[in-house]
Amino acid sequence: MTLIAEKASVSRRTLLKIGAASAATGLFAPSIARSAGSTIKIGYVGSLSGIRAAFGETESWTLEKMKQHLANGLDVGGKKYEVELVIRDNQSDPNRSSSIASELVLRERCNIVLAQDGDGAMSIGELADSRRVPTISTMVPWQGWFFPRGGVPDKGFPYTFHFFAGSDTILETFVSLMGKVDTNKKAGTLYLDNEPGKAFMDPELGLPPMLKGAGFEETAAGPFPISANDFSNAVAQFSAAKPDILTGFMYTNHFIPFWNQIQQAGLSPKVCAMAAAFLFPSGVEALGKMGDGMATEVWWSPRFPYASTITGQSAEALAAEWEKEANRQWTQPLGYGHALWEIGLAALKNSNDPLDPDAVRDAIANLNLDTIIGRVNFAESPIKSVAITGLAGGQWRKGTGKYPYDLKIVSNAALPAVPIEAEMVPLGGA
Amino acid sequence: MMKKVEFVALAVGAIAAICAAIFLDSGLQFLLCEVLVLFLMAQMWNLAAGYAGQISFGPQMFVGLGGYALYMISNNTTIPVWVVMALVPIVVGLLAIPLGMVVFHLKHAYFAIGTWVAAEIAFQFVIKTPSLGGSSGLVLRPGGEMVEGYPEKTVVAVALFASVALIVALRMFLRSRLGLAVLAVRDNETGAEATGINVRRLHLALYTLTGAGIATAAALYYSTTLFLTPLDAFQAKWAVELMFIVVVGGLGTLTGPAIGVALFIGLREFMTANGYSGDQYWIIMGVLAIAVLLLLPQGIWPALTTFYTRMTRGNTQ
Repeated sequence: MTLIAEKASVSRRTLLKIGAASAATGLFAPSIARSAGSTIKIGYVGSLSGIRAAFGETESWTLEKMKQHLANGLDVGGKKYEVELVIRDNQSDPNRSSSIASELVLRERCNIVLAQDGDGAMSIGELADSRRVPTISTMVPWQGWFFPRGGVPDKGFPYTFHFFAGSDTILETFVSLMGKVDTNKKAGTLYLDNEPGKAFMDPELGLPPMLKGAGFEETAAGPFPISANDFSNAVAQFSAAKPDILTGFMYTNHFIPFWNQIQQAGLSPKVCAMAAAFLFPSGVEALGKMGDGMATEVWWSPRFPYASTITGQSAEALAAEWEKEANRQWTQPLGYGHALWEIGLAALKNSNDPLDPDAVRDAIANLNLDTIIGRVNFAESPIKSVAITGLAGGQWRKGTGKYPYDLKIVSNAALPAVPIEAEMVPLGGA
Repeated sequence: MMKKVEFVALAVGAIAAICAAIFLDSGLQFLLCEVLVLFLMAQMWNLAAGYAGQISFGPQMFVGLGGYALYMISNNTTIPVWVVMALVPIVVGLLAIPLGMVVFHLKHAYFAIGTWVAAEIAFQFVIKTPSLGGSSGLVLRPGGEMVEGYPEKTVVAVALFASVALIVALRMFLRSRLGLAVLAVRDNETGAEATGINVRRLHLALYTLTGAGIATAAALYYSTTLFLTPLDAFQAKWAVELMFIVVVGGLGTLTGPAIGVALFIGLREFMTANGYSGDQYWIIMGVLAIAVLLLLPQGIWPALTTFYTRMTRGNTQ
């Protein structure tokens, strides 16, 4: 899939080469026929391969759809513009992200850049702001994009924008999930020692005060390093306290040994809401039979009652199309990857002059759009440059259809428009 | 003493630097910055490894220190970025001295691994220190303000002139007493010590100088990216890149790294322009490195010179 996306990217050099070759052979070459004045260049960076490849799994497909959609250009204010896509895979590598940033901003001089990856967005941010390249990013809680870049809520950034749920909303959703099952009100927590993990365990803004506020008693096993594969210390602590709830932040490859040790210790928690571990079906499937009942945050699901502004498809239809064509279960980034293009194209259309960076910037800043992931509202946001989106709580249940597990929405505390599909049940099923 | 040809080279370098700053477009300038910065770093690694025999796996430590020194001093003081750039080699050089004293207790393979470990320690330290930005990194905001203007214009001129000046300086250095001492140490360390060269002090001086040099090149590079993360700056990939450039081009020669950089970036640009993925690029790089090491173990440049000598003078050797 990576290969397809890379091959699909058309850079200026390739264009020149194709142009020269076709001119030499006397063939019709639309790529050189168009004048520079009426071509919009859209840059894209995403993690299509590398450690975050799961987040980019659906992206090559989405990009292919967008290419088809834009093949005949884009109408802006009655004028037809050709669209050139510059698609880059940052391989989940920060070093590669910086060279792509300079490529999209300085060498390709894109009219707008869409970043479907946190690293990609961070690397391009400062450069895009100083060179006036409107940039929209997503896929990382907005606090993780806004504050490390030195953002001030009432000022924001001049040319860079971000839309995603906040880490506070994720935490609220988690606490609401825990309250849905009858427990002894004891929660055992442990976190991976990285940026999002630290945000989760923050004693003032993280999970600890929220648990306390909701009447849960926390047994904190603290942070663990990314290379950890033995959790006996945490498990010993939990064996003593016997919490009914396990929560925190870890990846699937941590969760599997951790869960095995929990079982060996004879513990049988009733709720397990672990951030990041169960975002993707592959993570739950790796648990075999034990995956039934694992709880997670849900940024997007086919059950979201929204539709695309590009294709008019409902969330359900988009997911169905992906499952049919890719023959794989839907994943959450499918919706966000699509919405990124919705916002980018809407901004270009609203700008009246897509080649003027200030016009595009103002168009993004004034955007209030109902996308496939829900409302994305930059215009009335309390945090400038950021559109805060909603989030639901979900639980993986034994599949009734084609796939081993289905993700069911069980909590809509932070996004009431999304219907609840199922009751939250204790681990192992009701 | 400076030879006439070297003086001419410096003058031409200065003119080319000014032209590059004025006439090239900013995308090309950025690419050229990347090329020149890699060349400067590779030349430094070459000086340490090819001439002084210090094969280090840890040049990324100096890349990181250079970048962080630039960002921390610029962001937290009102000193102009260009003055900070001049301070970076001094700051990093001073840090390198005690570090060198420690790692020179190790020899050969142990030294290589020791430098790598030192780089990893520096990396962990930065990640765990919130005031250094932790793992999320730093943006360049000199005196708290967003960078205005076009840093790559100045950086490309400085880096271009520095590259020419570095070659001239190294040529002069290798003719000097100290340079001869370096060559003697490279050829036979015990023998050199017997003739009265203070090997330890020489090693330490070179380690400090090359470390400061790599840090300065890194500061030049990161002043154009405006964003710095520890994962990027302290990445072992820097060591791999520098090693590739120097070893494939020709270890212990001044021209080798130039050929290495041209090959390294040229192939990358060619392959991305033709739609190959990053993974495929690294596979080609690996194959190329193996092929060169098997067929031309001295590197490309020495092989070319041997070939040229044979062609012009017949097979005298």
